[in-house]
Amino acid sequence: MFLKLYNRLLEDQSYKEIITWGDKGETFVVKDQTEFSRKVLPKHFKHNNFASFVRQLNKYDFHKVKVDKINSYGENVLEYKHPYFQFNKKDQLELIKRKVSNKNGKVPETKAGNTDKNIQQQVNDLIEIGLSLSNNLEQLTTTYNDFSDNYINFGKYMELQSKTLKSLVDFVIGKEINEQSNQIKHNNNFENLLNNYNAWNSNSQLVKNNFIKFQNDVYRNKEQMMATKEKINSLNDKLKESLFSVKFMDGKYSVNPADAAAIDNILKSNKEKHPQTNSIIINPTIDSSTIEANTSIKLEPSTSTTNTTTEIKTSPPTRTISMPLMNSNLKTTTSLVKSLKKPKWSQPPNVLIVDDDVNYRLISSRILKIFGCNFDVANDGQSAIEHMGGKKYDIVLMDINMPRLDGVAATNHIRRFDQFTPIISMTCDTSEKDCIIYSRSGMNDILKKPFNKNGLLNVLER
Amino acid sequence: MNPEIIDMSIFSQILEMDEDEDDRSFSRELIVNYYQQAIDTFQKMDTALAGSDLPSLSNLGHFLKGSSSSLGIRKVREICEQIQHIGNLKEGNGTGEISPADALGRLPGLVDSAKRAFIEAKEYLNSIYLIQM
Repeated sequence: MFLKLYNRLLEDQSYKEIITWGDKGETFVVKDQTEFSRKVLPKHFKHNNFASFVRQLNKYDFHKVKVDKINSYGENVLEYKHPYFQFNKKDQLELIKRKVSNKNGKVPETKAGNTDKNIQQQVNDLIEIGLSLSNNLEQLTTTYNDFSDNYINFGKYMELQSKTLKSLVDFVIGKEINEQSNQIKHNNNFENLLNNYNAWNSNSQLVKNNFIKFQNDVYRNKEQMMATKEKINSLNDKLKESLFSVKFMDGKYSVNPADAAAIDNILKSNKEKHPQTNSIIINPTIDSSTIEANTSIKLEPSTSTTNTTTEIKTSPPTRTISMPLMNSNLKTTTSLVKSLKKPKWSQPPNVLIVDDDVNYRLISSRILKIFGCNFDVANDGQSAIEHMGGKKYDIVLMDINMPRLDGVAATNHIRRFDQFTPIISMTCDTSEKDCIIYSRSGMNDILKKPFNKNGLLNVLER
Repeated sequence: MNPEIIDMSIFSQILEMDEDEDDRSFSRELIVNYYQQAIDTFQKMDTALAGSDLPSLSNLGHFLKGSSSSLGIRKVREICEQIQHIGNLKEGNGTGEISPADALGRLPGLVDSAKRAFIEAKEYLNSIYLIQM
């Protein structure tokens, strides 16, 4: 306001002889100090002290101009200059500010300037980090796409394998039938079979290796993604913190709003990309329901003569009465469901029961049902192989002595395409010799018959 | 009830699996299945005896041994184990070696006693399950 007055003073032509603009309009000239003090100062500044006027000028960063033209205005002439104090440039007057002359005033100014710069720098850095992150994520996405392509190819390959296996099984079955009629061709055919088998074996080895490689890949990818996710999370936190501090300082220092928006966007896009990294489900179920045995290998003895020495005098089993049990002893048995101790697993296992004895199937099923397991039932080794080809089980409970294909042969067979699923033999024959045969065929453990719920649970929990 | 016929420590575990202690439909089904298995097996054993088919007799002995042991029908199980071993040309306890003629001489009597043990067990089971067969 002091300067506005001052400017008006210079525009006022009545003081022309006392105070006026310099030649170029960049300065102003006080022509007569005494007249100025006497006439002008009291009117506009409420004092008549020229020295205090000069001090005020100094405070506002006006500078005395030393010019040789001094003569053109006379001896007592003083000329002052300020970059924003110019003729006909009234709007610039606002920019003239009181000079901060002492230390206390100056330091905060520069400091503030520095923090402002720092924050600007930080924001820029963060934006860069965000950009590189989204680049990283894009790379991961492409890696994942490649990976899933690979996986699909792998699945196709497995299907092909299953088909090969099926044709081999068919061939073997055909062989069995042919053997009975064509004993002469036997040797040649057997050699063919052997060759086929060897080829198939090496193939399955290849598949196994591939699968292991593939699994390792999956794990590596998973780890990478987890690491990236963690990084993103920590960076997100940092970004949030910075954003908060930036906003906090917003009142004093103007932050480019576009930057803040950009940071917000980055945060958002990062969050959007998270579910993508999480949603990769590794689910190596191999669909190979193609192993079908249309023909059964008949191993059962077929004798036609029926010369019976002793006849059992029984009619076919028919229940005529179904009434509550009369025997009081039996009523005292507690229900298994009530007295059951809880199995110790996080997720109930998927079990395949293989037994030709219907009662063992019923008992095992009953126990597994009480334990809350999912299970399938197979009547013999052949059917077990069919089940194993079509579904992944956590454990197989395999009877040994079965028609068509016994437990040892079935396990041998299964181990050619599945090395990992635990197979437990259920049997009464637990001599050392038998156990060696079982473990050689690829069985992992033995459950001695007759078993109860605790025996079965022990095996399942292992 | 004669504990030599039925092993209650095993049979009571079967009874524990019944959801309904009055109905006992689960253990009842097992018992009926067992009757069927035993009768079928005895018929096959008779056939095998007639054909002097020792391997089949051993197999059938093994099968009925398993079925009987699941329900704790002890006496039938013990005799069937002997049938299994002798059909396999061993002594009844699974050791040594015997001649086919020796085996064929001993087996008819063993099959007969297995049948008698089965009928004993069946009579007892029928009485508690009120099954008339």
